[in-house]
Amino acid sequence: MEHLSDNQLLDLLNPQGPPAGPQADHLAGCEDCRRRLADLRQTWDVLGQWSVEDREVDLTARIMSQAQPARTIRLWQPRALVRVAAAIALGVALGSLAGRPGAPAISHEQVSEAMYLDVLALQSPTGWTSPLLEETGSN
Amino acid sequence: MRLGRGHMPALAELVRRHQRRALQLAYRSLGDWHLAEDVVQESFLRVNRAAPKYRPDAQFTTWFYRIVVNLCMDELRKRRRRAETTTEALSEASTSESPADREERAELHQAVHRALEKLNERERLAVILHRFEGHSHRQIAEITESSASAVESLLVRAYRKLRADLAPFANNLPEKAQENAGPGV
Repeated sequence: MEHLSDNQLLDLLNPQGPPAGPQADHLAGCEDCRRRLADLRQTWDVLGQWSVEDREVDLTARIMSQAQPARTIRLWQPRALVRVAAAIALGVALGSLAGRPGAPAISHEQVSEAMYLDVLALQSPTGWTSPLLEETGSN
Repeated sequence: MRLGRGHMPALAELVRRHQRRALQLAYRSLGDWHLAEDVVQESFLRVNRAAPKYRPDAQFTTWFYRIVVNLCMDELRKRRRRAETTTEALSEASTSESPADREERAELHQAVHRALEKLNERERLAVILHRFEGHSHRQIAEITESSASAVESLLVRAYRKLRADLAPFANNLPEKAQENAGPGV
């Protein structure tokens, strides 16, 4: 059997690697491959000394706050169209009401007061209503 | 996949289940916890965005790790362009250790990190996936979207470089390390 490749040696170190099988037999009789495997194992072991403690952090809340599905309104959907139309109608109605000039209810007292003032104006000594009277008289 | 139908509790469950290993992978690649958190967060957000298009023809973990690894790769490239060096303390202090042991361990951590930093991005990520995440050559090939033979070449080259850099530390390993060396033969 040929000497084991570096990859085969790496497989022998990795717990996820394939079972040793015939490679183990070769190793038993090949000092050169055993030495290469020992060298590789040393590197493997030194790397294994780099332990990383668990990070006491939970990213769940942080991720969920950014991962909420975006709510997109598509105008071509019937329900969205009804909503938009209702909103426009409501806006127009409110705008119309808000824009109409105030029309306070007129009481009988106010009407009679106005008529009384009209009569007084006819008899005014200052004569400031005379143009009006003339105009009225001409009619 | 429930996530594909906008099932948000499914995303939360995925985060809870995979964040720990993803954080360790990102940290080992980048040497910076804050950056690692950002990368992992972005990875899950990408999973969420891509979920409707996800087809379970690959294992979820393979797909997810591919995203994490690609983002780490981007960060490493950015860093190389900026020629930054990592300054974050890489040693994880353990309260049960004596100061001398802690110092020795910190020195070893720094040496391992420096040796990994000298590898190119692809070699580095391949070694991290192989040595620390326990992935096989074939799994690494799927995650990195490379051929198995390309991954094997990467690993062989990377371990050769690492062996040269870490040889001085090989004889000072604690006995426990020899016991944790994996199955071997």
